[in-house]
Amino acid sequence: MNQRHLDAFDKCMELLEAGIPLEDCFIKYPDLEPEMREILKTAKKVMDLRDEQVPIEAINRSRIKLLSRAKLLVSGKQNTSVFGVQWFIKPIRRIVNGFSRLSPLAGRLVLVSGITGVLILFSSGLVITSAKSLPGDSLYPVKRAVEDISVHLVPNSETRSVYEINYSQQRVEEVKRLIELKRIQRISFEGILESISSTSWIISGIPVNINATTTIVNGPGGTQFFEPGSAVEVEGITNVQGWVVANEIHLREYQYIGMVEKIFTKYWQISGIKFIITSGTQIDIGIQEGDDVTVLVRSEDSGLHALAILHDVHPNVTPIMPQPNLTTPMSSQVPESNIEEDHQITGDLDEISGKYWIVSGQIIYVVGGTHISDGINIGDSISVVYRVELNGSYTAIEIEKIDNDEHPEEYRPRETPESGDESDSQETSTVTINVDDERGESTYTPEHQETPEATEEHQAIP
Amino acid sequence: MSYWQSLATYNKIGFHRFGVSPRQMSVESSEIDLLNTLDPQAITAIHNRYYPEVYRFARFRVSDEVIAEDIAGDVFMHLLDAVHNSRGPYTNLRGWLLRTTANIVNDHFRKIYNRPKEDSSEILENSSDLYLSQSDPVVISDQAERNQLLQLAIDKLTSAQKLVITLRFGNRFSLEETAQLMGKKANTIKALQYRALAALRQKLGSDLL
Repeated sequence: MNQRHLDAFDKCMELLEAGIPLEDCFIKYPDLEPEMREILKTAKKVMDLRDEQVPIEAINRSRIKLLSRAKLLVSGKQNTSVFGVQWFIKPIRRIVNGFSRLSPLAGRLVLVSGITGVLILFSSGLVITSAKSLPGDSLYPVKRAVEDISVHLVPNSETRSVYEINYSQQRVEEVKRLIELKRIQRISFEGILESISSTSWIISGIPVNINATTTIVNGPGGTQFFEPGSAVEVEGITNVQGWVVANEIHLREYQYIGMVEKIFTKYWQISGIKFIITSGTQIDIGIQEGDDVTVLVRSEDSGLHALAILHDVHPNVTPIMPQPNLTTPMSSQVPESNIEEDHQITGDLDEISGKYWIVSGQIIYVVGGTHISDGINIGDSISVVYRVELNGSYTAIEIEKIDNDEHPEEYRPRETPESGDESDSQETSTVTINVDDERGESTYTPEHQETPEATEEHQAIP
Repeated sequence: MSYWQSLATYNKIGFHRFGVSPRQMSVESSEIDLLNTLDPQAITAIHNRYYPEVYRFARFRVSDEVIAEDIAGDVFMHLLDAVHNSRGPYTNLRGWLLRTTANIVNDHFRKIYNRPKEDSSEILENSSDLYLSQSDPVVISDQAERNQLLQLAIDKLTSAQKLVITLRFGNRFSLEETAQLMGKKANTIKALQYRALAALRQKLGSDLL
């Protein structure tokens, strides 16, 4: 079918429309007759189908129905506009319609972009405002929801872990802020147990009051107990005296030593306790049933999660201390070839226990062969030469007190107020205001907390 | 029906959204502005202007004039509802009305196809053996049956073919007008029309012609 063919057909159609017989058309285009005759006959039939008349009654009926419908819509519109959001929608609709005249797609895009923009602005503002909220504030649930979402959206488990530690630290800061504001609020936070006395514990710098109603949950079977350095979770209420009255404290992370009884894909049974194994659990190579192991445990609502299962090759295992700003190398970062090498750390002596010392948040075990210089007290700046054990724990080789003048350039000592009575060795002063020079932030901890256990242990060290 | 669905249907059945001249677009834009106010005079003006085209479109495709009237009325009701819900036409009012008519006609045929079918060949066999005058009720009835068969045959064409036949024959739109409404060139419409008639010829067979 070529152009001439189409033009001829169109011409014949015009003739047919004008009422000229079909044969007259074929006189003009005799060669096309065989092909076009039947089709033109069909066209004539289709033309006959046409009904030119439009009944006037039909028009009137339709118009009346239409106008009554319009009236109904107008009255409905007025009713909704009084209580509805027409005042808001109308200008938007005008803008959208304006764009739609240019292109319907543009109108829709403008509408969608506008709504998205408003939502983003609103939600961003909400998120920013909620970031400063504290427990008990109306926006606090938004803050927690944003945190939960951000943790879930992180694809990398290591980054997720960093997020979780940061958020955990934020809970601590929130509680400190509540105490400063003297607000009474139900709270829950995770922290490191720094000192223990009969009526109060210090957890991540927050004084926690222990009373007769406080429930203290030990490790499985009551075999694991609280000791400084343990990661714990506190549920309680802040009060106007600047304390947290604890309702419940339980061990969050701790070590458990036992014998491997059964090994399953999802859990291991170690000395009668089941520990959940996840993809993140670090397991030493070659552990078999019957072996003695040390388990680094995290207590969750879903059960006891094994963070690591290690050969029990060292009598002392470092308690887990999640410290996001550690300056010392983590065990996982130490290459195997370096395990036997000596390392050095400088920092403030935070804690002295029977088996270990805490230096700037890092636990270092002290053994019989450790050389310790005289006159070291809590709060002193010290230098520790240590080695990394196979299980990742640090064992001190030599501990020396250093003067501030001798600090290396990268070392910035914390501002530590001196105790009221330096000669009183039974009372130690915990940090009152810690100023982190790099971050410019200060943290609050109460003054003069008695830690008799720690002091006794200090004296017991050879 | 959502915007995207209606847009898809719009394109599927062959109407072109932008197939209007700038002058016509400005006229239709002012009509749409007035329509948005639901002003009775504007509604009457639009109804009177476009009702005949809508009715002819429907009447050409369906055998019964009452059904055609219902369809035409429904089209304008749809228009009011769409305008009220901000889903109405933005530029091409005529195209919107004819597209809606085509959709409602298609729905009508869908309902017909779901009913039990009559044997049309039997009706034709009986009537072709008799000689009757054109005014005889039997002949009129027979003609109505033939028209109905022709309309059913048209409905079995492709969407574009149905549309070009309806616009060209039912509404007497010129090649250029049809081309504008369908967003195609006049030559394409010529070819499409030829193929539509050829296909119709094939579907109808020789008995009906």
